[in-house]
Amino acid sequence: MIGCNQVKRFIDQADNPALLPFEASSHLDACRSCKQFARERASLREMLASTDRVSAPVNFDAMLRARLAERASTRRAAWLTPAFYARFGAAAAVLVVAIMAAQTGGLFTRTQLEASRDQGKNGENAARGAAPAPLSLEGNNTARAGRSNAGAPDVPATVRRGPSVQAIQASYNRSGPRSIRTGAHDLSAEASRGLNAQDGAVVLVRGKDGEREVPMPTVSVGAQSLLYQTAGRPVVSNIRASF
Amino acid sequence: MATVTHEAHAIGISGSRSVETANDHELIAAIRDGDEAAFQEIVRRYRNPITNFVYRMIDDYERAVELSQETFIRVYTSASRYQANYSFSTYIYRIASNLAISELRRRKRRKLVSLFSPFTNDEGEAIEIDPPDTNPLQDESLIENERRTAVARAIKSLPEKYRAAIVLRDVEGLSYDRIAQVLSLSEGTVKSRINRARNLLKEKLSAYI
Repeated sequence: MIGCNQVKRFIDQADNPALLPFEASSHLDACRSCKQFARERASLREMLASTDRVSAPVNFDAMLRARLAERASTRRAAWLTPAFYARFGAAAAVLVVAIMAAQTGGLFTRTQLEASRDQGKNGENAARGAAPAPLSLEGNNTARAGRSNAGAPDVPATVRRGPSVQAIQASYNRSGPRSIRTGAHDLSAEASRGLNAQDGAVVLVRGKDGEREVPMPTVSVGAQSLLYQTAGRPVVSNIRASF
Repeated sequence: MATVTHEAHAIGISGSRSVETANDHELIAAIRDGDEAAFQEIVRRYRNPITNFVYRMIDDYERAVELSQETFIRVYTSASRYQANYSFSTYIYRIASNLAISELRRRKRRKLVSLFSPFTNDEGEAIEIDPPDTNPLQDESLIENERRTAVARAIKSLPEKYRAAIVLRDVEGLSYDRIAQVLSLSEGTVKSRINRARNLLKEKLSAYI
């Protein structure tokens, strides 16, 4: 035997109120309260179901297409908005600040430790007399270690510790606008004038017209590829030493 | 909208079926592939039920049409993310329901005060003071008209959590389990809310029952 509350729950939750369990139907026949409840619920459902249903307007599709097109064009032009420019500007500013901070912090310059380490190595090479140069780009145009440079034993044959920027500038002032000099270049003379050979580099470029030494200021960025040209052919060699 | 009679292969459906006979999942798959005809067919099938549902929720026809269109725009733009775990009708009713509830909450934040509901209950929700007109009516159509107006007003006065459930159940005719999916609630909670909504409506519409 089920109670009124359970019957009312059956009535309220039935997908089809006409199809109640047999016990609930039997209870309804005998209980006036539940019968009244069932009648009210049925009336309410009918009232709600009979409310006027509104339809979409006749221009619904046209309006929808227009809104879709508008949304698509807004997305395409999103990068033109002021918000995009603001974001781009902020990103550029952050990048510039990061670069400046790195430069100020000495990320792109040689540390004192590296400089003293290199000086120590050069001293050892000089003490051994014919110490092997770090690398050489002579001969068959391939990087080859173990060759010495008789002219400047403390400097590699082709990638040499050159004079400082100030020394290069002074040399430039003395010799006129001939920063690219042909023929053998005597670094020992500049070294004898108290130049620090680790402050710059000299790149030897060999070709049909002889060899050229190009002094240039450098930054220490570790191992990097060196592009040089020989007999009109560009050759890239990976130098495993920073300069 | 013009009747869509594209062949099945146009929407990636095997055989000789047209978009009109394709089921909702097939149409969504076709929309995902960029088939405009499939989207038009989806709109044709659901524009009236969705517009009616949103209208019953917010009681503002112009805004209901806008939200209904927004529903279809979301269906179109997120077709690639649609997962066929539930029926598509559940999915689209869910979008429409969320939009309608957001609209109701937005209006609530604006503190729109209806002339018909200047009072609030303990929960801060509007209570409609709508005494039934006890004067004798002269015409059957007038009676029917007033009854419909009273029903619409009674639905509008319900708290939103009850309103969504009762509209989906007694106006749109969805089953309890589908309402539970649309509203992301348990079936028991849905049944409870519908029962409370009916009790509230019975009080408001006692003159017409």
